[in-house]
Amino acid sequence: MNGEKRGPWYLLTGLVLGIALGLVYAWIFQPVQYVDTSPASLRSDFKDQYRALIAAAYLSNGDLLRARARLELLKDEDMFRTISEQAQRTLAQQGSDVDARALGLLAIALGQAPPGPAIAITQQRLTPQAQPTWTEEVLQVSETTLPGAVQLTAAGIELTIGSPTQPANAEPTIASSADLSTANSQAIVTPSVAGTLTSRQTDTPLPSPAFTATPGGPFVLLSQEKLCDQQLDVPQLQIEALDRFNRPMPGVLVIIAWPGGEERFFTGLKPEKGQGYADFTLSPGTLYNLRLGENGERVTDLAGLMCTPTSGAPYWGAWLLKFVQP
Amino acid sequence: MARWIGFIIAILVGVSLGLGYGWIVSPVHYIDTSPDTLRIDFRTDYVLMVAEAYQNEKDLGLAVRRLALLGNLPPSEMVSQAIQFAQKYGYAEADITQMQSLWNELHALETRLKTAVP
Repeated sequence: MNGEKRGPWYLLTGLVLGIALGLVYAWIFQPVQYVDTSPASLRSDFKDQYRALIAAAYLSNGDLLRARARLELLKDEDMFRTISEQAQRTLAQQGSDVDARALGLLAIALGQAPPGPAIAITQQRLTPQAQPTWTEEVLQVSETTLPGAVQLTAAGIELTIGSPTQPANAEPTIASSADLSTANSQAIVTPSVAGTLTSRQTDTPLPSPAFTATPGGPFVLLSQEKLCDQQLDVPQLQIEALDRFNRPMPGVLVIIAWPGGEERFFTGLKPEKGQGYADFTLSPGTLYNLRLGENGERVTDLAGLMCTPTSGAPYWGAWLLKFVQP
Repeated sequence: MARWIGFIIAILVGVSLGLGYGWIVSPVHYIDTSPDTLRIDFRTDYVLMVAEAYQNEKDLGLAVRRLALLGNLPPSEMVSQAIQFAQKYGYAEADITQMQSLWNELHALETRLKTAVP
């Protein structure tokens, strides 16, 4: 009778008590501990440092495939854009020149990477369970003998490389019953200028052809043109670095100085405008000096260009300066 | 008696609800973690990257600062753990050699620092 008067509140009390016990257990006795996390979960500033380290390692070993596999661990939506932006951000924030250069070169290499067949490694886990025993071998196949695909098999890993005539986005795959480790297997595919496909597998890092920022001679000014484009809403300097064969050169250091300031960046960070291209927004009324590389020819007294059409209001234009490394 | 049974059942239901919410409805997502929480294979690759970069930069201070992100252990100890893992799982000899080279430099540095302090 007495119990009936109290009603079912005891059930609610038990429920609340249970939840409280669960929370106390979860928060005090067994609090969450972050262990065995992956690079994708890192805080953004740690991710920046991780990327910078990937770039520094790439600068040392020249292994683009390994760098790409490491970047994929960070699960960035667009690794090329992310690296490019970080390179520019590092420069803008007066960060480490070494980091900026490494990031810039890696961005350029990533931007250049897929003209021919690319290789995608499906990385399930970094921990190698079975060590593929790569034997160093070089396979050269002329384009005409590649009707479909090349298959290489080594120690249970099947590597299929698409024909150069396949669409650029056709990615060959590596299929393996064993987990792959970036630390243990690399495959570098480099289509040569003669149209042949060279495939090389090795267990040691190989130098990448992406390092095009060669020391060489000092850059000299080849031409200076006025560009009047009404699409531009700010005065600009546009720079193109060329080698002696008139080919664009990415990764060339551009140094722009003005009274009380200096900015350094690299060509090729906007690959959509050309591998040797870089640009800089000028402040009206300021004179700038420009050179490519530490010892390049200095172009002085550059100022914002004003274009005056025959009719209509004047607008800002750009200087296009082409430099060549003889 | 029936009340006590109901009460205990209610507690169990409450605990189940709490765990169900925490594990199924809103499970933990790891975000904003630091490198010292990385899984051992990622840590080993991180150490390998430091060793690779060191081969080019030859800046031991920079290598130490990079390794410091992995926790409070002495840098040589971190590299040593990475080498052990790499050996256990059959990393390429060239990679192990690079880490070994970095370990040698770090060990020498730590020995010098120990002897320098009275």
